[in-house]
Amino acid sequence: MRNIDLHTEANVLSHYLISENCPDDTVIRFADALLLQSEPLSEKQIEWYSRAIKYPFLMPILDGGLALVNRSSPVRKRIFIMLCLLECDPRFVNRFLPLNRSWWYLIVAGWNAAWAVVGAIVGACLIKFFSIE
Amino acid sequence: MSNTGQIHDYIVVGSGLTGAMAAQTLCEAGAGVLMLDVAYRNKTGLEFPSDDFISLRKNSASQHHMFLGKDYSGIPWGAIKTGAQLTPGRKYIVQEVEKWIPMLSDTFKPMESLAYGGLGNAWGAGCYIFSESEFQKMGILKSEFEESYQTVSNRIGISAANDDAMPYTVHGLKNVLPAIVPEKSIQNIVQSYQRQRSKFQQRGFHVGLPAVATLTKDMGERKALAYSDMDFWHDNDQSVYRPWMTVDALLKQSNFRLEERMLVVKFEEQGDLIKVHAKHTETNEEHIFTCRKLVLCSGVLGTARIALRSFERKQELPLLCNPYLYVPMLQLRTLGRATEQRKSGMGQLVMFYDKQRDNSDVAMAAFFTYRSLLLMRLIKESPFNFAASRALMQYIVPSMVIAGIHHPESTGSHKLLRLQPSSKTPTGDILEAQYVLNSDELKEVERTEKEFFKSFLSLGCIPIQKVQPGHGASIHYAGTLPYNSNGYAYTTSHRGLLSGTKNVYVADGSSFHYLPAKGISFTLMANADRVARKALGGA
Repeated sequence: MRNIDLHTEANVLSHYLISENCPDDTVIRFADALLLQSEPLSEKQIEWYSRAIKYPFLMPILDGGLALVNRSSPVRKRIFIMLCLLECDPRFVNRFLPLNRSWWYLIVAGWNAAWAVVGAIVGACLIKFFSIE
Repeated sequence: MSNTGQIHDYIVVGSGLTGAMAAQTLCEAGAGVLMLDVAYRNKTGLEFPSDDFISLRKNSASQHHMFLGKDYSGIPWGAIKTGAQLTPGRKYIVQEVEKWIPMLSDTFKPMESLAYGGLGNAWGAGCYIFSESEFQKMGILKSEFEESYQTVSNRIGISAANDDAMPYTVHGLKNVLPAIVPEKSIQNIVQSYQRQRSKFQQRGFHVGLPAVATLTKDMGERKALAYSDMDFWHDNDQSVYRPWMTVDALLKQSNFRLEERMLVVKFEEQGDLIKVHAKHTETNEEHIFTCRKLVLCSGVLGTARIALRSFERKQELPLLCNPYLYVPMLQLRTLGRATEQRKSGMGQLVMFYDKQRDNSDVAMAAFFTYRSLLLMRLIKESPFNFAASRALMQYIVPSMVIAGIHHPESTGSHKLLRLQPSSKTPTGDILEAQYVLNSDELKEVERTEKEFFKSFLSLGCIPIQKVQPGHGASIHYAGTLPYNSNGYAYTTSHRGLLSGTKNVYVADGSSFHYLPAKGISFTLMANADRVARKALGGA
């Protein structure tokens, strides 16, 4: 990625997905997995993805927008690869296994989902406008 | 071209559910059996400890290899297609299928296998004895199968409950093991059904625990189910029956041999002998094996290819495949609850819709809870960004129940197979399929699904999506060489003898005129035992 190292990218994605730092061994796995499973990004996609790494508040907007416009985007695949690695890491098991939650959590989750929708709409507009798909 | 010269008593083509049963019956009778199959095996080197799913997730530092594969090919991406539930350790089941047995079709996307043990390695283990009227529609008497159902059950071990589902599962079977204990969310659904039982039954719905080829008591080397919820990942305890277990046992017998890497292409009857032509999938060399009797157990599509190549006259063959839909649902009562440490990953509940109230034309839904296939598969399908989806799925997954609805199926004018020449395939041909439901069939499918949805809501399960993976996704096929006593081309006698031959038997589902919605695998295995006995010269 343009002027972004893998360690930074991994940390940004890890914070975005589970609000945690990315351990060094997971960064190495991420590198391996990208070599074997990632898809090439276009120039536009590299530009915007690099921007989202540099300004992490853009990541949910980019990811959400692509979820509406192009769910199988190679950008999303990159984020998804990190998600899969984090899910298969015992240190983060409590971010993925079901936990006992009160009904209040549903309201919090609903609120977050509503913001995710807003972000996705903004993201979709940006993607269409700048032809990032 | 290689020709061993040896004359075998029997050649069995295929090492899957039907090949394993047919070979066992023949070997037990003392016959000499050569099994031919490509027989790819799991070479991933993935090893799973005996821990349950939760313990593994909390403790194993190498779980990323187990769950994603050493090459991370287990990262699920792309559209949901047939076989989406295959985990990295099970992907060998579909290895090289597109190269050796390709299918050309826009309307039919089946799953086939060249693996050791075949599609049975990913079988959901559901066992169902078809009714008298279902057998009548299939073109054969139920009495022909009764002894074989029991024989197969004794071999593989079946657990079931004596409840409202029993008339549609394994009613009449002896030596059935105690049922698998369902998890709490399923018990909630059962209690909900029992409170409204008469209302459901008046509408034709019957709910209960499934009969499954899974041990709840130890049997020889095979262990009782440990409720580790790792059933999609490994067969370490051999609790769930897989055909390779039978073939492994047969390999220890002196009258059984397996030739691997052999893709059977066609047969030729020459007098009282049969020449079986096969291609070695590594060397491309042609091999000819000779036998007195040939038993075809290569699956409906595989047997169709062999039959079409072997006879001079080419024609279209009819094809049957259950229409299939799956429905993710939410059970609000279990939202936000941690799940039990130990549970089974197999199907936990079945619902039968007996429209005519006579156990014919029954549609079926099998219920699964979701956990061991990991959140990633669900997150991928969510319309939200991945971070929001992760939080949402973590919360709702304990309440998620997935119903897979199968519809019964009859032949139709747009459900066909044909073999076309092709210079692009190693065998010089390609199977082409067309599978389209007519408007009446579509209306019936929609009407049936509406009734199921009403029942789901009555049980406290809210459908959130309808996923139609397309024709072929049920992985239940039949009908290509239907029963006929007149000896017409491309038909089979009730003894399983392929018309136009003296000693070629069809022991898979090719002969059934009709495909009940209840899972066909147990009946296929019973048929394989039955046909093997006929081939031995029994009554």
